Amino acid sequence: MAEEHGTDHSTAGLSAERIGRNDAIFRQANERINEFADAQQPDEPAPFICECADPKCQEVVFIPLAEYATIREGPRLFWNVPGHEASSQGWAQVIETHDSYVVVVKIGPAGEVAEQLEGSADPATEAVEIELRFRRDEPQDEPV
Amino acid sequence: MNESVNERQARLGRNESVFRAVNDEIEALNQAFASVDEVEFGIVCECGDMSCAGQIQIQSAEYARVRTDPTLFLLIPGHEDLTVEVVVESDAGYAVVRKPSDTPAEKAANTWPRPST
Repeated sequence: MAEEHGTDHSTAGLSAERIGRNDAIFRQANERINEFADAQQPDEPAPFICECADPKCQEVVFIPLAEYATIREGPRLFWNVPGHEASSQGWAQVIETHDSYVVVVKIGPAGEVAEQLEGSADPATEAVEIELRFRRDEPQDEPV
Repeated sequence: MNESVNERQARLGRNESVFRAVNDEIEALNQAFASVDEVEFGIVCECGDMSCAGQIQIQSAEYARVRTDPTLFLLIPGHEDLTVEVVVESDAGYAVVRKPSDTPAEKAANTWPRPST
């Protein structure tokens, strides 16, 4: 059976810091796609990579650049394939629903991390200020 | 409106280039996520005992975070000297201590970042 991505199981045990950091990594990739697409065909929807918390998710959705730009106005805003917000382990709330994607706001410590890493050149490793208890991944009994 | 052959070729070329950009980013994502996962490395205990050769396993992001404050040091739990430092974190397999704001702290702060040679 194909491995499911973007589910609560796919990110079980991840810390709030890691949830926010994963989002920031996806955001950085999409910002580069946006820059390229805007130069190539600014009037066409561009293929962006889902910004859920599952690092293995590579689902692509076409989003008009103007809509994408609106999402990027908030340092805690991200778009997800519908249903993939579950991978945020409760650290995301859906605030908009579109045909092919939802907009979520990252909340709590995951939101703090996402905001701190906005514009970071290296969101994978850049240090963030967050309480220790939100930085520890929980060990898993079974591989996810 | 009919699209000319040249216009169509140009459009297809732009589409392909955008998809290539997406794939480049997927590859970059894999590398970025791998760098998050492959973060644990060994450092030496930073206690005041010059004969101590103990090692600490720590994630690179954690190490980077501690290093943002030049008065913080990473120690094996139990290697603290509470007469010269205060434990500020201790539940991660290592202790993070802060030098109080007296002469030792100033000395510690003044040695970081390490001068280039």
